[in-house]
Amino acid sequence: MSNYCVKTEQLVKTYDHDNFQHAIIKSVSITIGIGEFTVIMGNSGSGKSTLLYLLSGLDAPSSGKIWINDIPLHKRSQKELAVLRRKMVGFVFQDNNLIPNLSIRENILVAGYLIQGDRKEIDQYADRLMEELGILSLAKRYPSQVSGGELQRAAIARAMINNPMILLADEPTGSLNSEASEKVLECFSRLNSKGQTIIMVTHDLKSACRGSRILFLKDGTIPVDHFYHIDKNHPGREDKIFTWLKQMGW
Amino acid sequence: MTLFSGLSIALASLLFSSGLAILQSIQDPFDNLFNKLNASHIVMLYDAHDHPTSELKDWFAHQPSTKRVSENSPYFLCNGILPRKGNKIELMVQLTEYNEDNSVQDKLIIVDGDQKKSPAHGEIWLPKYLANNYQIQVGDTIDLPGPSGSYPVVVSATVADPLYGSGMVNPTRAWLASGELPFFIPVSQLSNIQLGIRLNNPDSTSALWERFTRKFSYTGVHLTYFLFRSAYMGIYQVMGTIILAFSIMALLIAMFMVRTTITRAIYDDYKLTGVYKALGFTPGNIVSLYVIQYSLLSIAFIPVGLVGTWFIIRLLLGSISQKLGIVETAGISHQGLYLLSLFVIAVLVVTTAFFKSFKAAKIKPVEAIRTGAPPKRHTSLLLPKDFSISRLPLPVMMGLRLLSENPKRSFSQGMILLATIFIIIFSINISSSFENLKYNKSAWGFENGDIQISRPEAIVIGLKNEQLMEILSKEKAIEHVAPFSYSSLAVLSKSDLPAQEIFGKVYADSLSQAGLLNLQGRHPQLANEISLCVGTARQFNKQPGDSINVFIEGQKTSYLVTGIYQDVSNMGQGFRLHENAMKKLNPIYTPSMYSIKLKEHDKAGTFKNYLLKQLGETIAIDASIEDRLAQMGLIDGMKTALFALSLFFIFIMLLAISSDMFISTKENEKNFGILKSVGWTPGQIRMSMVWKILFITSAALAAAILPGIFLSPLIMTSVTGGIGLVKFPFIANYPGMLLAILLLLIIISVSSWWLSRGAATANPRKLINS
Repeated sequence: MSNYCVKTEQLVKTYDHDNFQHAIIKSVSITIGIGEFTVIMGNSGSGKSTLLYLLSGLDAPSSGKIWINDIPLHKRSQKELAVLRRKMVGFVFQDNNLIPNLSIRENILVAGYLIQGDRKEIDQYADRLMEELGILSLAKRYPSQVSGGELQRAAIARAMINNPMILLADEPTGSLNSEASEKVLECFSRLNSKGQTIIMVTHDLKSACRGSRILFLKDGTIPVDHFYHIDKNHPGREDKIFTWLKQMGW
Repeated sequence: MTLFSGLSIALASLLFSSGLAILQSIQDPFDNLFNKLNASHIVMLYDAHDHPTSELKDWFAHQPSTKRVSENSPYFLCNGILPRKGNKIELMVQLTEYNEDNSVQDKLIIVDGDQKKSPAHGEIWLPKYLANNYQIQVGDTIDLPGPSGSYPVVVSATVADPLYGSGMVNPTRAWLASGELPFFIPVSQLSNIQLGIRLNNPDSTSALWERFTRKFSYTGVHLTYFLFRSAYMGIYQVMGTIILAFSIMALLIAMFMVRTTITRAIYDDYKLTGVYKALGFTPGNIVSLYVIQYSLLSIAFIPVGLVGTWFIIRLLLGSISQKLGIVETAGISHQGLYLLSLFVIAVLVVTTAFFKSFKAAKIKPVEAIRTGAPPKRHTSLLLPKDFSISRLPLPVMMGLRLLSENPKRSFSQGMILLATIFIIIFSINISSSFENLKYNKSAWGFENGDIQISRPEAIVIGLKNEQLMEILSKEKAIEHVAPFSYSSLAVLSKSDLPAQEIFGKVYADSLSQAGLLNLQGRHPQLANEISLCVGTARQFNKQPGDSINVFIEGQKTSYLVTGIYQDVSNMGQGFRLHENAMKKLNPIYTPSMYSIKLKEHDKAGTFKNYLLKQLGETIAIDASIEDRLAQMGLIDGMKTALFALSLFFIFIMLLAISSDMFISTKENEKNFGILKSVGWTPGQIRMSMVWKILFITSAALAAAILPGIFLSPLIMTSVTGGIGLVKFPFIANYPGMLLAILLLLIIISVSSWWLSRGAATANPRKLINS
């Protein structure tokens, strides 16, 4: 058993635009500990979402290595990555990305049933998750019939249904109003307090304050001084983070 | 998607125009050749001792409907011609002398061999089909069996003979030099005469014959233009009608495809249509956009189908050419037919487009501009309503969801699959019914014997009926012998005048024992009883229990109709009598043909050889109906046509699956990305699409199998009713159907798996952009 959750080494991701290789991620080496709530921030186009997709195995690096709990993600087939993803990674998108013609419960079970096991237990666990996230009453509704904040909580439930080692979130409150955002962030905090490792991309300072560490991505890299440890008990932490971010060029 | 619609339009036009073209083409080449060679509309075959030829010629020559009467040619009916290379010809051959008159009437076209005016001494001209069937080449020697031994002749030409070229008229005809017959047949046995009458108009054949029979008590055989023509046309007529019938189905499928494409286009252009309307486009303008588009599509793709038809017709003419020896295509034009097909299909496509595009005309501009899509309805048409209720694997459940996502499209898809499965079941069973004719002869109107033999007349020392029956009764391999002979009678009109001559059979034993069946009533048994073939019964409006007045064996008599039967061999015309009836009129009547049923059907070939060895030339083995049909390639032709039809529909089905997969992949691109992000493998996503198609296939199978089995004989009956088969002898081929369904399932599974590869490439990264 490793003492980290996610580790990357010299991670590079380039895209080909009109025969020109454009590097989005340029040599990122990070280690995320178990139970950490890591926030990735950076300016637009800095590669935040790309890094998150690489960490989840949804996208493959051009070079470099990634491990989740000592299991290498690089050089794996699509099928192997899919199997790893269903067991170890939960992903929450900015736009909830629930399947519109499945009910809320079905959207959760469509991921839950991928794991071999007693379906009754999975059903019960889905109900428990929905209850915890305050959406059990919406279980039979379709995505078009519920609000944005509720959808995002349903997306969290879907991401959590297989008890993933790591929960990744790509600007989960980006398209929500403040009240809905607060509820979603509360969910993340609650999950983290129970030991869930979370990596969240955000550009919102309030959301960032929920984390335990901030990585500031600049031009596809994270220099040594671009890590910030958040003291959750410090009353003026929001201002301190803001000042630090300004120093980083936010 | 537009391409798929276009292809389905092209296929529908191919089938539609092919069906029409086959029905039109089959008669033209025959008539052209018939007229070019000045062929006789009536061929009379009789014994010169019975009828004075000059009197007959004189009478016909003075009839206003007669154009010309040929010179009389002697002929000799010969059985068992043996080519030096190859197999014995198991057909009666009418060896006819070719005289000078043949350069005017009943001319021949030399297909292979030297272009000579007539065969030279020691030479023979064979019809092209006979030479083809027995692989006889020009220059080969064949032995003609004569009373005093075999007589060798050299095949110097193969010829196109429109009267006998189909191979369906038994006996067939071959030509020798004038004066050749007495070289190997005693003159005393050369009393058979052939006389041909060419008419101004073939339609006057019946009326002329009626007048003739009123004047003469003719006892010979006469063959008419209509018999020769139907011998060619029967099977092609059936093929053409089947293809035409199924082209209707193909047209419906094409309409489905057009509707689906337009629906898709309306969704794609939903916002744009709103903008057009906001700019001032009227609903009429919107409709015309689609109508113009589909008019152009029709103009582009219907000709593709018509080009296919052009090739099919060339193949068909090639096949007819193989039989006739030559095809006269001069004057055959399908331009009108192509224009008709273009018009009919274009009108159907444009009308479909017109009505379907009303949906676009009804789009509300505000809603379209704001939402860009019609209001989405969630359907719970198909179970499971909730994943947690079901214990099915995830891809299966997702397949069901994909199925219920667009019920209309799934229904269309199901209809195409249903049509394809129906055609396949139809083709397999109908092919099987034709193929199994040899085991089911009774239903087709034949005796159920395995071998048919005859006692040739021109044998100096021959076997009498009683002697032959005694010999056969001692053979342990034989189960039953049904002796019979051919006969003819003239049905009398109300004024007791001959209305029509019909050919039939007289049976010396129980008709049931011969394996014969009736559609209604029972077999004739007594001297005053007769059963009629279905066409004759219809023509004279006779039912069991009615009486019919006939002229037979030179006497007028009345029979009680006891039964109605079907018989494919004579286009629904004919009669059956028991020997009792014939003996009353002709006490010295004896049968000359014998249908032999063996205990083991498979040993027919061996037993034939054994009989020939035992009885030599005292008997002749006649070709069985299945052998004759096989030699003509008719069963193979029918099977090939049905196979091609099935392939057409499988192709249409694959097009439909492909278009459905394409649309489904496009519509669900984002959903598949989401599934990938939560851990679905590409294989699981593809399997969900395959399951969707398999669910539709299962429903289509369930809906198609029983109608396929029960409607196929009804469809065939409607097609073959005109040729005397009012109850098609249907034999269901269950193992064949099972195999075909399994194969179809494999084809559908493999093709839909292959076509679903687009779903596997759905990139979850797109979810960020969305």
